[in-house]
Amino acid sequence: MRENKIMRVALRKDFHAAGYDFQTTVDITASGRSVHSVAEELAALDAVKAVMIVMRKPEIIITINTKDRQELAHIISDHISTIRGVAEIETHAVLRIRKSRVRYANLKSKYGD
Amino acid sequence: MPTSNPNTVIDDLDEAIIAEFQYDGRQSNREVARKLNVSEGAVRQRLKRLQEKRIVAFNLLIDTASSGNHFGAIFRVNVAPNQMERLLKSAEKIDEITYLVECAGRYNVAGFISTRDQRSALKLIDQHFLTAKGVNSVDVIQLAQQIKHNFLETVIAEERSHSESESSL
Repeated sequence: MRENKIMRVALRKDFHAAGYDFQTTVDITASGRSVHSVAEELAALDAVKAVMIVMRKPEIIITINTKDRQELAHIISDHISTIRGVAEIETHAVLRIRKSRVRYANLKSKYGD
Repeated sequence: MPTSNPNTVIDDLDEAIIAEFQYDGRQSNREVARKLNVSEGAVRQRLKRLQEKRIVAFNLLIDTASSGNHFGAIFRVNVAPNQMERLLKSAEKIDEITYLVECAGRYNVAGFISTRDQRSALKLIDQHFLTAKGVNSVDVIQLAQQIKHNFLETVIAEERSHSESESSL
C-alpha cells in the first residue's frame, strides 16, 4: 500500500514551530489560460501550501502560510499577481485555526510532501 | 489558541531528524541515526522531546482517492458573532470536518468536509450549519481536484487539547 501511495506514515510539524504565524486563503479567478495551468504554477510556489480547483468561480482556492504580513504581501503582489492567467484575487485572513486533522491527502500528487 | 511553545529551540539536528521522518515516518530510529551519523539514543530522545512539546506528531495518511471518501468541499459560514463560539465548538466534534478556522471577511467560519458522498456532506451541513442559530449564510464549494496539499505542517497543539477535553467528558 505504501508503494502504491495508498497509505503513508509521516511526521507532521507544528505550524508555528515551522516558523509560520499567518495563514491566508486566497480565491483566484483565472482568465485567458487554462485553470489547470494556473493552478500548477501556483502549486510550484513554496509558500502556497494547498491548491484546489473547485466547481465554481473563482475556480482556484489556495492556502498560503507565511511568517508575517510582509512575506504575505510579497507572495501575493510579487508572485501570485504576476502569474499569467490570474485575473482576480480575493484574500481571506485566517484568524485562528480551530482544527486541522490530517487523515486524507492526495498522496499521488507530484506536490505530495 | 493553544500552540507549541515558541521558546522551544529546535536545532539543526532536530530539523534533520524531522526531515528524515517527514520523508518516511516508518524508518526506525536506528536507520535515521545511521543516516545522520549520530547515536540511536540521540534520535530517540530528541524525537520524544519534540513530540512531548507538540512540535511534531506522527500521522497515518490515506490517499483520498483510495479512501472511499469521494466528496470533499470547502464550506464558508457567516454567523452572528454571539453564536460563533457555540457553532465552532459543535463543528470541532464532527469527524468529517478535518479543517476548521475562524476568519475575517465576508464569512467568519470556514473549513473542509470530507465524506463518502455529496448526500452525507449536505446532511451534515444542514444539521450543523443551515439550521444552527445565528447562521446568516452558508456557502458550499465542491472540490474538483486537489493539486497540492501540504499535510506535513499543520497545527498540532490543538489536537492534544481537543482530545484531552474529549476524554474528560
